[in-house]
Amino acid sequence: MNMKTTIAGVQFKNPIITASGTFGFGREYNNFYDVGLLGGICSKGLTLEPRQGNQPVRIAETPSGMLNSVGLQNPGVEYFIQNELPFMKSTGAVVIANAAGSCEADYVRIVQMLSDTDVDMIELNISCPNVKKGGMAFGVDPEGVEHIVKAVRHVCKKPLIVKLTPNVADISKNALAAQNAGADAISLINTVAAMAVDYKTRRPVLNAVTGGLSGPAVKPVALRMVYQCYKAVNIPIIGMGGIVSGTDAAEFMLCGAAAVQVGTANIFEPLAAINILNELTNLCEHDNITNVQSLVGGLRVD
Amino acid sequence: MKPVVAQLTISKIECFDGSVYRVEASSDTALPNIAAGQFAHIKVPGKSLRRPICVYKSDEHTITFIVADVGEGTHAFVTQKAGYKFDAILPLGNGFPILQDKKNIVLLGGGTGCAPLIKIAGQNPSLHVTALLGFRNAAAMGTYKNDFDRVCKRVLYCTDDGSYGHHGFPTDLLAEVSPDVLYVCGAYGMMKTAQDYCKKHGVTGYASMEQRMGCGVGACLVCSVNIMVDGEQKLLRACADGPVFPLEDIVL
Ligand SMILES: Cc1cc2nc3c(=O)[nH]c(=O)nc-3n(C[C@H](O)[C@H](O)[C@H](O)COP(=O)(O)OP(=O)(O)OC[C@H]3O[C@@H](n4cnc5c(N)ncnc54)[C@H](O)[C@@H]3O)c2cc1C
Ligand SMILES: Cc1cc2nc3c(=O)[nH]c(=O)nc-3n(C[C@H](O)[C@H](O)[C@H](O)COP(=O)(O)O)c2cc1C
Ligand code: FES
Repeated sequence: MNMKTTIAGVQFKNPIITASGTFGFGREYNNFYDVGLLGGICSKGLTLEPRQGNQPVRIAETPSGMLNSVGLQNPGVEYFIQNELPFMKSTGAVVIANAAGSCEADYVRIVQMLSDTDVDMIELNISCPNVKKGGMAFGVDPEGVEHIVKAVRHVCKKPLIVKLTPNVADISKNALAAQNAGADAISLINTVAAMAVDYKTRRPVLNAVTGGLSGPAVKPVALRMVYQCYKAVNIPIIGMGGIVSGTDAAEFMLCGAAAVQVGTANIFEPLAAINILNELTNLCEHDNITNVQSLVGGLRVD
Repeated sequence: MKPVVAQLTISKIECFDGSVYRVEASSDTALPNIAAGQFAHIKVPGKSLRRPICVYKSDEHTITFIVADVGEGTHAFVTQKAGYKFDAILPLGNGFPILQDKKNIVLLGGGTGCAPLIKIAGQNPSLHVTALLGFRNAAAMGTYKNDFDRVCKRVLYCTDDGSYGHHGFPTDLLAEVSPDVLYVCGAYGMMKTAQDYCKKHGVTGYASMEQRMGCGVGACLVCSVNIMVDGEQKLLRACADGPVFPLEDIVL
Protein backbone atom coordinates (compact mmCIF):
# COMPACT_ATOMS: atom_id res chain seq x y z
CA MET A 1 0.00 0.00 0.00
CA ASN A 2 1.22 3.46 -0.88
CA MET A 3 0.92 6.00 1.92
CA LYS A 4 3.29 8.51 0.29
CA THR A 5 2.28 12.11 -0.16
CA THR A 6 4.03 14.85 -2.06
CA ILE A 7 3.40 18.48 -1.20
CA ALA A 8 5.14 21.24 -3.12
CA GLY A 9 7.80 18.80 -4.23
CA VAL A 10 8.51 17.55 -0.72
CA GLN A 11 7.96 13.83 -0.23
CA PHE A 12 6.29 12.61 2.97
CA LYS A 13 6.35 8.92 3.98
CA ASN A 14 2.70 9.30 4.88
CA PRO A 15 0.18 12.12 5.25
CA ILE A 16 0.34 12.42 9.07
CA ILE A 17 2.09 15.55 10.37
CA THR A 18 2.08 16.92 13.91
CA ALA A 19 0.59 20.39 14.34
CA SER A 20 2.52 23.42 15.53
CA GLY A 21 2.47 24.13 19.26
CA THR A 22 1.24 20.72 20.34
CA PHE A 23 4.40 18.71 19.80
CA GLY A 24 7.23 20.90 21.08
CA PHE A 25 10.18 20.21 18.81
CA GLY A 26 9.46 16.49 18.80
CA ARG A 27 11.74 15.48 21.67
CA GLU A 28 9.08 14.74 24.28
CA TYR A 29 7.06 12.40 22.09
CA ASN A 30 10.16 10.67 20.82
CA ASN A 31 10.29 9.19 24.33
CA PHE A 32 7.05 7.36 23.57
CA TYR A 33 7.64 6.25 19.97
CA ASP A 34 9.92 6.89 17.01
CA VAL A 35 8.53 10.18 15.67
CA GLY A 36 10.54 9.54 12.50
CA LEU A 37 7.74 7.15 11.52
CA LEU A 38 5.44 10.13 10.99
CA GLY A 39 5.19 11.95 7.67
CA GLY A 40 6.25 15.24 9.17
CA ILE A 41 6.73 17.22 12.35
CA CYS A 42 6.10 20.92 12.75
CA SER A 43 7.85 23.22 15.20
CA LYS A 44 6.23 25.49 17.75
CA GLY A 45 5.51 28.97 16.29
CA LEU A 46 8.86 30.76 16.07
CA THR A 47 9.48 34.47 16.40
CA LEU A 48 12.59 36.55 15.77
CA GLU A 49 13.21 37.15 19.47
CA PRO A 50 12.45 34.70 22.30
CA ARG A 51 8.94 35.14 23.73
CA GLN A 52 7.69 34.30 27.21
CA GLY A 53 4.03 34.11 26.21
CA ASN A 54 0.99 34.97 28.30
CA GLN A 55 0.60 34.66 32.05
CA PRO A 56 -1.17 31.51 33.25
CA VAL A 57 -3.89 30.18 33.34
CA ARG A 58 -3.35 29.22 29.71
CA ILE A 59 -5.63 26.20 29.27
CA ALA A 60 -9.26 25.30 29.81
CA GLU A 61 -11.08 22.09 29.01
CA THR A 62 -14.32 22.55 27.08
CA PRO A 63 -16.80 19.99 25.77
CA SER A 64 -14.88 17.85 23.25
CA GLY A 65 -12.00 20.28 23.11
CA MET A 66 -9.80 22.79 24.86
CA LEU A 67 -8.82 26.43 24.83
CA ASN A 68 -5.26 27.64 24.94
CA SER A 69 -3.72 31.06 25.32
CA VAL A 70 -0.03 30.23 25.27
CA GLY A 71 0.80 33.38 23.32
CA LEU A 72 3.59 32.02 21.14
CA GLN A 73 6.06 31.19 23.91
CA ASN A 74 9.22 30.11 22.07
CA PRO A 75 13.01 30.35 22.37
CA GLY A 76 13.40 32.47 19.23
CA VAL A 77 14.42 31.42 15.73
CA GLU A 78 18.17 31.54 16.33
CA TYR A 79 17.99 29.21 19.30
CA PHE A 80 15.73 26.95 17.27
CA ILE A 81 18.21 26.74 14.42
CA GLN A 82 21.13 26.01 16.75
CA ASN A 83 19.52 23.69 19.28
CA GLU A 84 16.25 22.18 18.08
CA LEU A 85 16.44 21.87 14.32
CA PRO A 86 19.31 19.35 14.33
CA PHE A 87 17.25 17.05 16.53
CA MET A 88 14.13 17.46 14.41
CA LYS A 89 16.11 16.67 11.25
CA SER A 90 17.67 13.62 12.88
CA THR A 91 14.26 11.99 13.30
CA GLY A 92 13.87 11.44 9.56
CA ALA A 93 10.43 13.03 9.36
CA VAL A 94 9.85 16.03 7.10
CA VAL A 95 10.60 19.12 9.21
CA ILE A 96 8.31 22.11 8.98
CA ALA A 97 9.23 25.35 10.75
CA ASN A 98 6.23 27.43 11.84
CA ALA A 99 7.08 31.13 11.58
CA ALA A 100 5.22 33.98 13.24
CA GLY A 101 5.84 37.70 13.51
CA SER A 102 4.31 40.94 14.59
CA CYS A 103 5.26 43.04 11.57
CA GLU A 104 6.22 42.52 7.96
CA ALA A 105 9.92 43.06 8.60
CA ASP A 106 9.89 40.32 11.25
CA TYR A 107 8.21 37.85 8.93
CA VAL A 108 10.66 38.60 6.15
CA ARG A 109 13.69 38.30 8.43
CA ILE A 110 12.61 35.06 10.05
CA VAL A 111 11.81 33.45 6.70
CA GLN A 112 15.20 34.58 5.39
CA MET A 113 16.92 32.99 8.35
CA LEU A 114 14.99 29.72 8.03
CA SER A 115 15.66 29.65 4.29
CA ASP A 116 19.37 29.28 4.98
CA THR A 117 18.89 26.16 7.10
CA ASP A 118 17.96 22.60 6.25
CA VAL A 119 14.29 22.86 7.31
CA ASP A 120 12.22 21.19 4.63
CA MET A 121 9.30 23.61 4.59
CA ILE A 122 8.16 26.83 6.18
CA GLU A 123 4.63 27.25 7.51
CA LEU A 124 3.71 30.91 7.74
CA ASN A 125 1.53 31.46 10.79
CA ILE A 126 -0.56 34.51 9.97
CA SER A 127 -3.31 33.27 12.18
CA CYS A 128 -2.35 33.16 15.85
CA PRO A 129 -5.27 34.44 17.92
CA ASN A 130 -3.28 34.53 21.15
CA VAL A 131 -0.98 37.44 20.57
CA LYS A 132 -2.13 40.99 20.12
CA LYS A 133 -0.09 41.26 16.95
CA GLY A 134 0.26 37.54 16.32
CA GLY A 135 -0.01 37.93 12.62
CA MET A 136 -3.79 37.87 12.80
CA ALA A 137 -3.73 41.40 11.42
CA PHE A 138 -2.30 39.94 8.18
CA GLY A 139 -4.48 36.88 8.25
CA VAL A 140 -7.97 38.32 8.43
CA ASP A 141 -8.66 39.83 5.03
CA PRO A 142 -7.52 38.68 1.58
CA GLU A 143 -5.56 41.92 0.98
CA GLY A 144 -3.58 41.39 4.18
CA VAL A 145 -2.88 37.76 3.28
CA GLU A 146 -1.74 38.65 -0.21
CA HIS A 147 0.48 41.45 1.06
CA ILE A 148 2.37 39.43 3.66
CA VAL A 149 2.68 36.30 1.55
CA LYS A 150 4.09 38.34 -1.35
CA ALA A 151 6.63 39.99 0.92
CA VAL A 152 7.75 36.66 2.32
CA ARG A 153 7.68 34.83 -1.00
CA HIS A 154 10.32 37.21 -2.25
CA VAL A 155 12.91 35.92 0.22
CA CYS A 156 11.62 32.39 0.86
CA LYS A 157 13.83 29.69 -0.63
CA LYS A 158 11.80 26.84 0.87
CA PRO A 159 8.40 25.49 -0.04
CA LEU A 160 5.98 27.89 1.62
CA ILE A 161 2.83 26.79 3.43
CA VAL A 162 0.44 29.54 4.53
CA LYS A 163 -1.60 28.68 7.62
CA LEU A 164 -5.05 30.21 7.63
CA THR A 165 -7.25 31.32 10.47
CA PRO A 166 -10.89 30.26 10.66
CA ASN A 167 -11.82 33.55 12.34
CA VAL A 168 -12.77 35.24 9.08
CA ALA A 169 -15.82 35.85 6.92
CA ASP A 170 -14.84 33.71 3.93
CA ILE A 171 -11.77 31.54 4.30
CA SER A 172 -11.73 30.51 0.64
CA LYS A 173 -11.00 34.12 -0.36
CA ASN A 174 -7.95 34.10 1.91
CA ALA A 175 -6.88 30.76 0.49
CA LEU A 176 -7.07 32.20 -3.01
CA ALA A 177 -5.15 35.29 -1.93
CA ALA A 178 -2.38 33.07 -0.54
CA GLN A 179 -2.25 31.12 -3.79
CA ASN A 180 -2.13 34.29 -5.88
CA ALA A 181 0.71 35.63 -3.78
CA GLY A 182 2.80 32.55 -4.40
CA ALA A 183 2.07 30.12 -1.57
CA ASP A 184 3.02 26.54 -2.43
CA ALA A 185 0.39 25.09 -0.11
CA ILE A 186 -2.11 26.18 2.53
CA SER A 187 -2.84 24.66 5.91
CA LEU A 188 -5.99 25.09 7.96
CA ILE A 189 -7.44 25.59 10.46
CA ASN A 190 -5.71 27.39 13.27
CA THR A 191 -7.70 27.65 16.51
CA VAL A 192 -11.14 29.25 16.72
CA ALA A 193 -11.28 32.40 18.86
CA ALA A 194 -13.26 31.48 21.97
CA MET A 195 -13.52 31.86 25.74
CA ALA A 196 -14.44 30.01 28.92
CA VAL A 197 -16.08 31.50 32.00
CA ASP A 198 -16.06 30.32 35.60
CA TYR A 199 -19.51 31.17 36.90
CA LYS A 200 -18.52 30.75 40.56
CA THR A 201 -15.75 33.30 40.45
CA ARG A 202 -17.38 35.36 37.69
CA ARG A 203 -14.02 35.38 35.94
CA PRO A 204 -12.73 34.16 32.61
CA VAL A 205 -10.83 30.89 33.05
CA LEU A 206 -7.92 32.08 30.90
CA ASN A 207 -5.79 34.89 32.21
CA ALA A 208 -5.74 36.32 28.68
CA VAL A 209 -9.60 36.25 28.78
CA THR A 210 -9.91 34.80 25.27
CA GLY A 211 -8.03 31.94 23.66
CA GLY A 212 -8.12 29.47 20.82
CA LEU A 213 -10.46 26.49 20.67
CA SER A 214 -9.11 23.22 19.28
CA GLY A 215 -9.87 19.52 19.39
CA PRO A 216 -12.88 17.49 18.17
CA ALA A 217 -15.20 20.43 18.91
CA VAL A 218 -13.82 22.30 15.88
CA LYS A 219 -13.69 19.35 13.47
CA PRO A 220 -16.99 20.06 11.68
CA VAL A 221 -15.97 23.68 11.13
CA ALA A 222 -12.54 22.60 9.88
CA LEU A 223 -13.98 20.03 7.46
CA ARG A 224 -16.31 22.63 5.98
CA MET A 225 -13.44 25.06 5.53
CA VAL A 226 -11.11 22.51 3.93
CA TYR A 227 -13.93 21.58 1.57
CA GLN A 228 -14.50 25.24 0.61
CA CYS A 229 -10.81 25.94 0.11
CA TYR A 230 -10.37 22.80 -1.99
CA LYS A 231 -12.97 24.15 -4.39
CA ALA A 232 -11.25 27.57 -4.48
CA VAL A 233 -7.56 26.75 -4.98
CA ASN A 234 -5.38 24.27 -6.84
CA ILE A 235 -2.36 24.24 -4.52
CA PRO A 236 -2.22 21.37 -1.98
CA ILE A 237 -4.11 21.68 1.31
CA ILE A 238 -2.97 20.42 4.69
CA GLY A 239 -6.10 19.93 6.79
CA MET A 240 -6.41 19.95 10.54
CA GLY A 241 -8.79 20.61 13.39
CA GLY A 242 -9.89 17.97 15.87
CA ILE A 243 -8.37 14.92 14.22
CA VAL A 244 -8.18 12.11 16.78
CA SER A 245 -8.56 8.98 14.61
CA GLY A 246 -7.58 7.51 11.27
CA THR A 247 -11.16 7.95 10.10
CA ASP A 248 -11.02 11.65 10.99
CA ALA A 249 -7.87 11.95 8.87
CA ALA A 250 -9.57 10.18 5.96
CA GLU A 251 -12.56 12.54 6.22
CA PHE A 252 -10.25 15.55 5.82
CA MET A 253 -8.63 13.91 2.82
CA LEU A 254 -12.03 13.29 1.21
CA CYS A 255 -12.72 17.02 1.62
CA GLY A 256 -9.54 17.79 -0.26
CA ALA A 257 -6.61 17.64 2.16
CA ALA A 258 -3.48 16.08 0.67
CA ALA A 259 -2.10 15.62 4.18
CA VAL A 260 -3.31 16.32 7.71
CA GLN A 261 -1.93 17.68 10.93
CA VAL A 262 -2.66 16.26 14.34
CA GLY A 263 -2.61 18.77 17.20
CA THR A 264 -4.72 18.57 20.31
CA ALA A 265 -4.94 14.78 20.07
CA ASN A 266 -1.25 14.65 21.12
CA ILE A 267 -2.10 16.60 24.24
CA PHE A 268 -4.84 14.15 25.17
CA GLU A 269 -2.85 11.04 24.30
CA PRO A 270 0.93 10.87 23.77
CA LEU A 271 0.64 8.07 21.20
CA ALA A 272 -2.10 9.84 19.22
CA ALA A 273 -0.19 10.71 16.04
CA ILE A 274 1.31 7.26 15.58
CA ASN A 275 -2.03 5.61 16.43
CA ILE A 276 -3.77 7.79 13.84
CA LEU A 277 -1.17 6.80 11.24
CA ASN A 278 -1.70 3.12 12.03
CA GLU A 279 -5.47 3.51 11.92
CA LEU A 280 -5.33 5.29 8.57
CA THR A 281 -3.06 2.57 7.19
CA ASN A 282 -5.40 -0.16 8.46
CA LEU A 283 -8.41 1.67 7.09
CA CYS A 284 -6.84 1.79 3.63
CA GLU A 285 -5.88 -1.88 3.82
CA HIS A 286 -9.37 -2.83 4.94
CA ASP A 287 -11.06 -0.81 2.19
CA ASN A 288 -8.67 -1.92 -0.59
CA ILE A 289 -7.32 1.59 -1.04
CA THR A 290 -3.93 0.97 -2.62
CA ASN A 291 -2.88 4.62 -2.74
CA VAL A 292 -3.91 6.88 0.11
CA GLN A 293 -3.84 9.87 -2.24
CA SER A 294 -6.87 8.46 -4.02
CA LEU A 295 -8.89 9.68 -1.04
CA VAL A 296 -8.00 13.30 -1.70
CA GLY A 297 -11.05 15.24 -2.86
CA GLY A 298 -13.00 12.03 -3.18
CA LEU A 299 -16.07 13.40 -1.46
CA ARG A 300 -19.26 12.44 -3.30
CA VAL A 301 -21.53 15.43 -3.52
CA ASP A 302 -24.53 15.11 -5.81
CA MET B 1 13.59 7.50 33.49
CA LYS B 2 11.49 7.79 30.33
CA PRO B 3 7.76 8.07 30.95
CA VAL B 4 5.44 5.28 29.86
CA VAL B 5 1.70 4.94 29.41
CA ALA B 6 0.87 2.53 32.22
CA GLN B 7 -2.30 0.43 32.14
CA LEU B 8 -3.68 0.38 35.67
CA THR B 9 -6.58 -1.29 37.47
CA ILE B 10 -8.06 0.07 40.69
CA SER B 11 -7.63 -2.59 43.36
CA LYS B 12 -8.94 -0.67 46.36
CA ILE B 13 -10.51 2.70 46.92
CA GLU B 14 -11.13 4.13 50.37
CA CYS B 15 -12.47 7.38 51.73
CA PHE B 16 -12.16 8.54 55.32
CA ASP B 17 -13.54 12.04 55.37
CA GLY B 18 -16.05 12.23 52.54
CA SER B 19 -13.86 14.06 50.06
CA VAL B 20 -10.32 12.68 49.89
CA TYR B 21 -9.77 9.22 48.46
CA ARG B 22 -6.96 6.74 48.75
CA VAL B 23 -6.80 4.93 45.44
CA GLU B 24 -4.67 1.81 45.10
CA ALA B 25 -4.09 0.44 41.63
CA SER B 26 -2.17 -2.44 40.13
CA SER B 27 -0.22 -2.92 36.94
CA ASP B 28 0.44 -6.24 35.22
CA THR B 29 3.66 -5.00 33.71
CA ALA B 30 6.43 -3.71 35.96
CA LEU B 31 6.17 0.00 36.75
CA PRO B 32 9.23 2.22 36.43
CA ASN B 33 10.94 3.68 39.49
CA ILE B 34 9.13 6.80 40.60
CA ALA B 35 10.91 9.47 42.63
CA ALA B 36 9.39 11.54 45.42
CA GLY B 37 7.46 14.45 43.93
CA GLN B 38 6.97 12.96 40.48
CA PHE B 39 3.43 12.71 39.18
CA ALA B 40 1.16 10.65 36.97
CA HIS B 41 -1.06 12.16 34.28
CA ILE B 42 -4.27 10.23 34.70
CA LYS B 43 -7.06 9.58 32.21
CA VAL B 44 -10.34 10.12 34.05
CA PRO B 45 -13.81 9.07 32.83
CA GLY B 46 -15.59 11.46 30.49
CA LYS B 47 -12.75 13.97 30.11
CA SER B 48 -10.31 14.54 27.29
CA LEU B 49 -7.58 16.28 29.27
CA ARG B 50 -5.75 14.15 31.78
CA ARG B 51 -5.50 15.08 35.47
CA PRO B 52 -2.08 15.41 37.13
CA ILE B 53 -1.89 13.50 40.43
CA CYS B 54 1.32 12.88 42.32
CA VAL B 55 2.43 9.39 43.11
CA TYR B 56 2.03 8.70 46.81
CA LYS B 57 3.51 5.23 46.92
CA SER B 58 4.62 2.77 44.31
CA ASP B 59 6.49 -0.45 43.82
CA GLU B 60 6.85 -2.78 40.86
CA HIS B 61 3.20 -3.68 40.48
CA THR B 62 1.20 -1.36 42.71
CA ILE B 63 0.73 2.37 42.94
CA THR B 64 -1.25 4.55 45.35
CA PHE B 65 -2.72 7.99 44.78
CA ILE B 66 -4.36 10.36 47.24
CA VAL B 67 -7.10 12.13 45.31
CA ALA B 68 -9.33 14.96 46.49
CA ASP B 69 -12.79 15.13 44.90
CA VAL B 70 -12.73 18.79 43.84
CA GLY B 71 -14.33 18.90 40.39
CA GLU B 72 -15.86 16.92 37.55
CA GLY B 73 -12.73 15.02 36.58
CA THR B 74 -11.59 13.93 40.01
CA HIS B 75 -15.19 13.17 40.99
CA ALA B 76 -15.66 10.86 38.01
CA PHE B 77 -12.40 9.11 38.94
CA VAL B 78 -12.96 8.59 42.67
CA THR B 79 -16.49 7.28 42.16
CA GLN B 80 -15.12 4.29 40.22
CA LYS B 81 -14.98 0.90 41.89
CA ALA B 82 -12.28 -1.74 42.29
CA GLY B 83 -11.69 -3.35 38.89
CA TYR B 84 -11.91 -0.05 36.99
CA LYS B 85 -9.22 0.16 34.33
CA PHE B 86 -7.52 3.41 33.35
CA ASP B 87 -4.22 4.60 31.96
CA ALA B 88 -1.69 7.05 33.30
CA ILE B 89 1.47 8.59 31.88
CA LEU B 90 4.22 8.18 34.46
CA PRO B 91 6.58 9.08 35.96
CA LEU B 92 6.50 12.76 35.01
CA GLY B 93 8.32 15.85 36.18
CA ASN B 94 11.31 16.42 38.40
CA GLY B 95 10.96 15.20 41.96
CA PHE B 96 12.46 16.54 45.17
CA PRO B 97 16.27 16.62 45.18
CA ILE B 98 17.54 14.57 48.12
CA LEU B 99 20.42 16.22 49.98
CA GLN B 100 22.17 13.37 51.76
CA ASP B 101 24.50 15.67 53.71
CA LYS B 102 21.68 17.55 55.48
CA LYS B 103 20.86 16.39 58.99
CA ASN B 104 17.46 17.69 59.89
CA ILE B 105 15.00 17.11 57.05
CA VAL B 106 11.49 18.51 57.45
CA LEU B 107 8.43 17.72 55.35
CA LEU B 108 5.73 20.37 55.41
CA GLY B 109 2.44 19.26 53.90
CA GLY B 110 -1.19 20.27 53.92
CA GLY B 111 -4.10 17.99 53.01
CA THR B 112 -3.50 16.22 49.69
CA GLY B 113 -0.20 18.14 49.60
CA CYS B 114 1.19 15.61 52.07
CA ALA B 115 1.08 12.93 49.38
CA PRO B 116 4.19 13.79 47.30
CA LEU B 117 6.34 14.10 50.44
CA ILE B 118 6.16 10.61 51.87
CA LYS B 119 8.54 9.03 49.36
CA ILE B 120 11.27 11.40 50.56
CA ALA B 121 11.30 9.54 53.86
CA GLY B 122 10.22 6.17 52.47
CA GLN B 123 13.00 6.01 49.88
CA ASN B 124 15.74 7.36 52.18
CA PRO B 125 15.61 5.50 55.49
CA SER B 126 19.00 6.89 56.54
CA LEU B 127 17.71 10.47 56.62
CA HIS B 128 16.44 12.05 59.81
CA VAL B 129 12.99 13.18 58.71
CA THR B 130 10.40 15.13 60.68
CA ALA B 131 6.95 15.66 59.16
CA LEU B 132 4.69 18.62 59.89
CA LEU B 133 1.32 17.70 58.48
CA GLY B 134 -1.80 19.83 58.44
CA PHE B 135 -5.40 18.72 57.94
CA ARG B 136 -8.89 20.16 58.19
CA ASN B 137 -9.80 17.69 60.89
CA ALA B 138 -8.89 14.30 62.35
CA ALA B 139 -11.00 12.42 59.79
CA ALA B 140 -8.96 13.88 56.91
CA MET B 141 -5.77 12.59 58.59
CA GLY B 142 -7.10 9.07 58.29
CA THR B 143 -6.42 9.03 54.55
CA TYR B 144 -2.74 8.55 55.31
CA LYS B 145 -3.31 5.90 58.00
CA ASN B 146 -0.06 5.71 60.00
CA ASP B 147 2.15 5.74 56.89
CA PHE B 148 4.13 8.81 57.91
CA ASP B 149 4.73 7.49 61.44
CA ARG B 150 6.25 4.36 59.92
CA VAL B 151 8.87 6.15 57.79
CA CYS B 152 9.57 9.41 59.64
CA LYS B 153 11.53 9.89 62.85
CA ARG B 154 8.91 12.27 64.14
CA VAL B 155 5.45 13.36 62.95
CA LEU B 156 3.62 16.42 64.22
CA TYR B 157 -0.03 16.52 63.21
CA CYS B 158 -2.02 19.73 63.06
CA THR B 159 -5.71 20.27 62.49
CA ASP B 160 -7.61 23.43 61.58
CA ASP B 161 -10.38 22.57 64.04
CA GLY B 162 -8.18 21.23 66.83
CA SER B 163 -9.73 17.77 66.66
CA TYR B 164 -6.25 16.21 66.73
CA GLY B 165 -2.71 17.37 67.49
CA HIS B 166 -1.70 20.99 67.28
CA HIS B 167 -4.66 23.32 66.82
CA GLY B 168 -3.44 25.49 63.94
CA PHE B 169 -1.13 25.42 60.94
CA PRO B 170 1.91 23.17 60.57
CA THR B 171 3.95 26.27 59.70
CA ASP B 172 3.42 27.35 63.35
CA LEU B 173 5.83 24.55 64.31
CA LEU B 174 8.69 25.40 61.93
CA ALA B 175 10.69 27.25 64.60
CA GLU B 176 10.32 24.33 66.99
CA VAL B 177 11.81 21.79 64.55
CA SER B 178 14.35 24.20 62.93
CA PRO B 179 14.94 22.39 59.62
CA ASP B 180 18.19 22.27 57.63
CA VAL B 181 16.16 21.53 54.53
CA LEU B 182 12.45 21.92 54.01
CA TYR B 183 10.19 20.16 51.49
CA VAL B 184 6.82 21.79 50.99
CA CYS B 185 3.55 20.99 49.26
CA GLY B 186 0.36 22.75 50.16
CA ALA B 187 -1.82 25.77 49.72
CA TYR B 188 -0.56 29.22 48.78
CA GLY B 189 -0.49 30.46 52.37
CA MET B 190 1.65 27.55 53.53
CA MET B 191 4.12 28.05 50.68
CA LYS B 192 4.34 31.76 51.35
CA THR B 193 5.00 31.30 55.07
CA ALA B 194 7.54 28.57 54.35
CA GLN B 195 9.30 30.75 51.78
CA ASP B 196 9.54 33.65 54.24
CA TYR B 197 10.86 31.30 56.92
CA CYS B 198 13.53 29.83 54.63
CA LYS B 199 14.64 33.25 53.41
CA LYS B 200 14.89 34.57 56.95
CA HIS B 201 16.82 31.59 58.32
CA GLY B 202 18.87 30.68 55.26
CA VAL B 203 17.22 27.27 54.99
CA THR B 204 17.22 25.32 51.72
CA GLY B 205 13.68 24.66 50.59
CA TYR B 206 11.88 22.94 47.74
CA ALA B 207 8.20 23.13 46.89
CA SER B 208 5.92 21.33 44.48
CA MET B 209 3.79 23.64 42.33
CA GLU B 210 0.39 23.11 40.77
CA GLN B 211 -0.76 24.44 37.44
CA ARG B 212 -3.41 23.45 34.94
CA MET B 213 -1.84 21.09 32.45
CA GLY B 214 -2.33 19.86 28.92
CA CYS B 215 0.13 17.26 27.69
CA GLY B 216 1.96 16.84 31.00
CA VAL B 217 5.16 15.93 29.14
CA GLY B 218 6.61 19.34 28.26
CA ALA B 219 5.38 19.84 24.70
CA CYS B 220 2.41 22.22 24.75
CA LEU B 221 3.60 25.03 27.06
CA VAL B 222 0.26 25.64 28.76
CA CYS B 223 1.39 24.84 32.31
CA SER B 224 3.64 27.81 32.99
CA VAL B 225 4.55 29.00 36.45
CA ASN B 226 6.55 32.12 37.35
CA ILE B 227 10.05 31.24 38.55
CA MET B 228 13.13 33.41 39.11
CA VAL B 229 16.06 32.25 36.96
CA ASP B 230 19.35 34.14 37.42
CA GLY B 231 17.51 37.13 38.82
CA GLU B 232 14.96 37.23 36.01
CA GLN B 233 11.32 36.18 36.22
CA LYS B 234 10.64 33.40 33.73
CA LEU B 235 7.66 31.28 32.77
CA LEU B 236 8.71 27.66 33.21
CA ARG B 237 6.75 24.47 32.61
CA ALA B 238 5.30 23.01 35.79
CA CYS B 239 5.20 19.57 34.16
CA ALA B 240 8.72 19.27 32.78
CA ASP B 241 10.82 21.95 34.52
CA GLY B 242 8.94 21.25 37.78
CA PRO B 243 6.66 20.53 39.48
CA VAL B 244 9.34 20.84 42.18
CA PHE B 245 11.29 24.11 42.24
CA PRO B 246 13.68 25.70 44.76
CA LEU B 247 11.38 27.49 47.19
CA GLU B 248 13.34 30.74 47.03
CA ASP B 249 12.90 30.96 43.23
CA ILE B 250 9.13 30.60 43.20
CA VAL B 251 7.26 33.85 42.54
CA LEU B 252 4.30 33.76 44.91
C1 LIG C 1 1.93 18.07 39.73
C2 LIG C 1 0.56 18.02 40.36
C3 LIG C 1 0.30 17.05 41.30
C4 LIG C 1 -0.96 16.95 41.87
N1 LIG C 1 -1.19 15.98 42.79
C5 LIG C 1 -2.41 15.84 43.33
C6 LIG C 1 -2.66 14.80 44.28
O1 LIG C 1 -1.80 14.00 44.61
N2 LIG C 1 -3.91 14.70 44.78
C7 LIG C 1 -4.90 15.56 44.42
O2 LIG C 1 -6.03 15.40 44.90
N3 LIG C 1 -4.69 16.56 43.54
C8 LIG C 1 -3.47 16.72 42.99
N4 LIG C 1 -3.25 17.75 42.08
C9 LIG C 1 -4.36 18.62 41.73
C10 LIG C 1 -5.27 17.93 40.71
O3 LIG C 1 -4.59 17.81 39.48
C11 LIG C 1 -6.57 18.75 40.50
O4 LIG C 1 -7.30 18.78 41.69
C12 LIG C 1 -7.43 18.14 39.39
O5 LIG C 1 -6.81 18.29 38.14
C13 LIG C 1 -8.81 18.78 39.35
O6 LIG C 1 -9.56 18.23 38.28
P1 LIG C 1 -11.15 18.30 38.30
O7 LIG C 1 -11.63 17.93 36.95
O8 LIG C 1 -11.69 17.51 39.42
O9 LIG C 1 -11.43 19.83 38.65
P2 LIG C 1 -11.90 21.02 37.73
O10 LIG C 1 -11.73 22.25 38.51
O11 LIG C 1 -13.23 20.74 37.12
O12 LIG C 1 -10.80 20.97 36.59
C14 LIG C 1 -10.82 21.85 35.48
C15 LIG C 1 -9.46 21.83 34.84
O13 LIG C 1 -8.50 22.49 35.67
C16 LIG C 1 -7.48 21.63 36.07
N5 LIG C 1 -7.18 21.86 37.49
C17 LIG C 1 -8.08 22.24 38.44
N6 LIG C 1 -7.46 22.37 39.63
C18 LIG C 1 -6.15 22.08 39.42
C19 LIG C 1 -4.99 22.06 40.27
N7 LIG C 1 -5.05 22.34 41.56
N8 LIG C 1 -3.81 21.71 39.71
C20 LIG C 1 -3.72 21.41 38.40
N9 LIG C 1 -4.78 21.42 37.56
C21 LIG C 1 -5.98 21.76 38.07
C22 LIG C 1 -8.00 20.24 35.79
O14 LIG C 1 -6.97 19.29 35.56
C23 LIG C 1 -8.85 20.47 34.58
O15 LIG C 1 -8.07 20.53 33.43
C24 LIG C 1 -1.98 17.86 41.50
C25 LIG C 1 -1.72 18.85 40.55
C26 LIG C 1 -0.46 18.93 39.97
C27 LIG C 1 -0.18 19.98 38.96
C1 LIG D 1 -1.48 24.43 22.94
C2 LIG D 1 -1.55 24.81 21.49
C3 LIG D 1 -0.54 25.61 20.95
C4 LIG D 1 -0.57 25.98 19.60
N1 LIG D 1 0.44 26.74 19.09
C5 LIG D 1 0.46 27.03 17.76
C6 LIG D 1 1.54 27.75 17.18
O1 LIG D 1 2.52 28.10 17.84
N2 LIG D 1 1.50 28.03 15.84
C7 LIG D 1 0.44 27.64 15.04
O2 LIG D 1 0.45 27.89 13.85
N3 LIG D 1 -0.59 26.94 15.58
C8 LIG D 1 -0.62 26.63 16.90
N4 LIG D 1 -1.66 25.91 17.43
C9 LIG D 1 -2.77 25.50 16.55
C10 LIG D 1 -2.61 24.06 16.07
O3 LIG D 1 -1.42 23.90 15.34
C11 LIG D 1 -3.83 23.65 15.20
O4 LIG D 1 -3.91 24.53 14.09
C12 LIG D 1 -5.15 23.73 15.93
O5 LIG D 1 -5.00 23.37 17.29
C13 LIG D 1 -6.24 22.85 15.30
O6 LIG D 1 -5.88 21.48 15.26
P1 LIG D 1 -6.23 20.42 16.44
O7 LIG D 1 -7.70 20.52 16.74
O8 LIG D 1 -5.82 19.08 15.90
O9 LIG D 1 -5.42 20.82 17.60
C14 LIG D 1 -1.65 25.55 18.78
C15 LIG D 1 -2.65 24.73 19.33
C16 LIG D 1 -2.62 24.36 20.66
C17 LIG D 1 -3.70 23.49 21.20
S1 FES E 1 1.39 20.48 30.25
FE1 FES E 1 2.16 20.57 28.21
S2 FES E 1 4.07 21.55 28.59
FE2 FES E 1 3.36 21.24 30.59
